[in-house]
Parts: sequence; C-alpha cells; structure tokens
Amino acid sequence: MNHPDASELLSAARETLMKEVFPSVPENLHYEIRMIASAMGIAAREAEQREAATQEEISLCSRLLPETVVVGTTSQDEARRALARAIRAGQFDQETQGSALHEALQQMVLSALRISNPRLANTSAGEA
Amino acid sequence: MNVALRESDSQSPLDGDCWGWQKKLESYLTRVMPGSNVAIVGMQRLSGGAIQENWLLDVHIVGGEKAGKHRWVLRTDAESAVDVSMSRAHEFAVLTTVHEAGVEVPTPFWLCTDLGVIGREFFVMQAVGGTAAGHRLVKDDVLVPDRPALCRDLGRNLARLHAIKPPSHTLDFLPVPVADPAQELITQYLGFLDALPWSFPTIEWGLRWLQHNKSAPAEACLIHRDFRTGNYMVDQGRVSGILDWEFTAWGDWREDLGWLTARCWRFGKNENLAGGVGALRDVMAGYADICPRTLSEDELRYWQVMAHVRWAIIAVQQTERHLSGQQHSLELALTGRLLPELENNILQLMGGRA
Repeated sequence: MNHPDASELLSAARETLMKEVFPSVPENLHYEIRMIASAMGIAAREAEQREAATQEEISLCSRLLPETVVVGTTSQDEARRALARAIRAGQFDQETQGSALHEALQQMVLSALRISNPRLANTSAGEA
Repeated sequence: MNVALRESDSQSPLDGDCWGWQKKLESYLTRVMPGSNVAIVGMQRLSGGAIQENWLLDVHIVGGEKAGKHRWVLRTDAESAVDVSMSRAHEFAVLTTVHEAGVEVPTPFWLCTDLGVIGREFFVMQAVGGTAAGHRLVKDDVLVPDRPALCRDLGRNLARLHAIKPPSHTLDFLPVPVADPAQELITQYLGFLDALPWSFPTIEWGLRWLQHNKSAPAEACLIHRDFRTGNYMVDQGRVSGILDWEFTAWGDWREDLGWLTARCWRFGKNENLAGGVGALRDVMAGYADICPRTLSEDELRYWQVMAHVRWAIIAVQQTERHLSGQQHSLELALTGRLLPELENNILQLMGGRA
C-alpha cells in the first residue's frame, strides 16, 4: 500500500479545498466547490470501505440465493443481477423470504449510505 | 484590446447575450406585436435546468397594446437537449390550458416553432416574482410567514389542475389516459430498469411491493408529475407561479401528492410533510376548497414509494447520461450517489417508517 493512500490523499485535498480555497472563491462558484468537496468525500470513504461493503453484499446475497451466488466466485454485479431477477420472479413474495430479503437490502443500503451520506446512515441506523 | 470592438460600443451586444439572439428576438417580438417597437435592454440566463434554458428578458416597448417595460422569460431547449421531455410547443399548450383552468402559472404569450429565429423552438411568458429555492423556502420564515396559507395555495392549485379531465383537444398530443395508471407506471419502470446496464435489487423490491399493494385506480385527470418544492415560485409568502410542466400527463391525482410529500423533496425539513414547507392537512384543506377529496395514510404511503422509485430510476438514468459522455456533468454524476438515500426511503416506507 502507498502512503498516503487514496483515502488519505483525498481527505487532505478536500480539507485544503474547503478551508483555504473556498473562502476566496466567488460566490457564484460556491455550489460547484461544494459539489467537488462532496465528490471527494464520497471517493475517500469509498476507497476505504468499498472492499468490505462489496464482500458483505455478496455474502448477504449468497445467504438469500445460496444456489446462485457463491462467495469467492460471484462478482458484485452478478450477485445484484441474480437478486433482482429472483425478486422479479416472485421468489421473495412469501412473508418469511420477504422479511429476510428486506432485512438484507436494508443492510446493503446502510453500507452504501455510510459511503455516500454518513450523516444519514447514522440517523437511519438509529431509527431502524 | 480590439479597437473595432471598442468603436462599436453603442451597438455592443448585451452582456448576457452569449448566443447573439438579441436582434433576432427584437425583430421576432416586433412581428408578433404589430405597431410596436421592441427593444431588449437586458438578457440573463437563469440558473437551473439541464434540459431547458430560461432567459430573463428586460423588454421596452414603444407603441401598441403592450407599450411599456416588461420582464419576460424565454424558455427553450438547452443545447444538450435530451429527447425524454416534451417539446416546447407541447409545453406551451399545457401552460395555456392550465392557465385557462385557473392554475397559477406564468402567463404564456407566444410560441415560436420557426427555427429560423434563434435556431431552437421557444416560447415567451411572463416573468413571475419571488423565489423557488427549496433550501430557503423550507427554513426561512421571512419568505414564508404563513405556512398554512402557502400550503392551501398549493392544494388549490393542485385541485384546479386535477379538475382538467380527458379528453382535451388542446392536449391531444399527450398519450391517451390508461385505465390503471399505477400499473402502467410499474410496467414502464420495470422496462426502464431492463434498459440499464446494472441491476438494482432494492428498486425491484419496491416495484414488487407497488405491484402487490396497488389500490383501485382513480378517475384520470391532468397531473403535473414534478409538483414539488423547487418547482413553484413563492412571492410574499404565496404561490406566484408553478413551473416546469414538461412531464405533465393524464394520470392518478394521488401521484402528484406522493411526489410533493416524498421525503426526498423535503429539503431536510422532514417534519413538514408537504415539500418541507408545511403540513399536508393544509394542502388538503386548500384542495377541498376546489374539490373535496381525502387521501388515506396507505394511499399516501403507496404514492410516496412510487415517487422514490421514480426518482431513483431517474437518478440512475442521469448517471448514465454522464457516464456515457452524452452530457458530462459533476452534478449528474453526484445524482447517482443519491441512490442509497432513495433506496433507504423506499425500504423504510415499505416497512412502515419514514
């Protein structure tokens, strides 16, 4: 691993942008700067959390569809495709299967929220 | 500095006129207002709208019926127009129809389909005062001193719009109304998902729930389909104009209420169900002034799930537009990262929360 790693670099760059550059940028570009900072924040968190989130998602899918999704061989895209197809085919229409699916999706979405919107992830975890 | 440019100062183009439209528009406006002499003294591109461009025109007219100073808005397709939304001609027809029905909109004046004028279709309408900025409207009590009054305005406008029933000869370009709009939307959204290069289990699950929890369809009426905070102007605390009619269609009136009240359009002010600006009961009270109707909690929840599913799919489509190079934009790219928030709302609503 290189140091600083991708996440550390992006965080440092983001901090400089907001603390040192933002105050002297004309107001009509504030929205753009905020968007840039937001994109850098997401990318920094993703660089850090992506691997674990992907593995978690595949293993959740595998628990729901043990015959189709295999941890170690199935990719994240394939796992999502398999799950989407199974939902449409009605495999989760029964109450028991439905609640298991709902719970798993909620976990996946929370992991994605921790990357894209950590503030909301914290309140949602509190609510759930 | 270019001397030739400096010498022609008196003829210099207006600051905001980046496409060089001023003279062409002046002669167009002089044509549609016989007996008038029209001068455009200010042009400014208004912010917002990746698909449409809105230009504020300061117009001075000498002679004729409209003699005087005016502030008008010219609305046209953006350079990178996509084919998902209706043409300006159709939007003009919608605007004219709802204006006649008493819905608060900028008064539409002229439609120009002659590409010889500025190279694009456009129409001209009255500029309305106030602001549409959602983040300010939900927070600033100076902008909205009487929230119930604003909400009643929203309700009355929705009810006037929903009173327009098919068929309508001025709107014959709209797809014909279907017997079961919710079913039509579900089928359409499943088709959209199939056209995307990735899969979205949570959106699929939301659509499955929508399929199983569908209630009896309501009588078809005209709906806005983007009726939310950010798309209406507020002046002195009251609705001064409802904007962005490009998604208008025949449908189920409850869809507009689900969209208006969906959590994703409350701009962080979650306790104010009606678009972050106020209470749904006040919207419904205004609605009842025109047409008494009730909306059960289950119906509201159903159409809020529908709203989030729709927004989630649009968000993915916008990301696609960025990634495919059709329209490179950080804003579109970031829209894709709204998805977890929308999916979270779908799951919470299905589970009885949010």
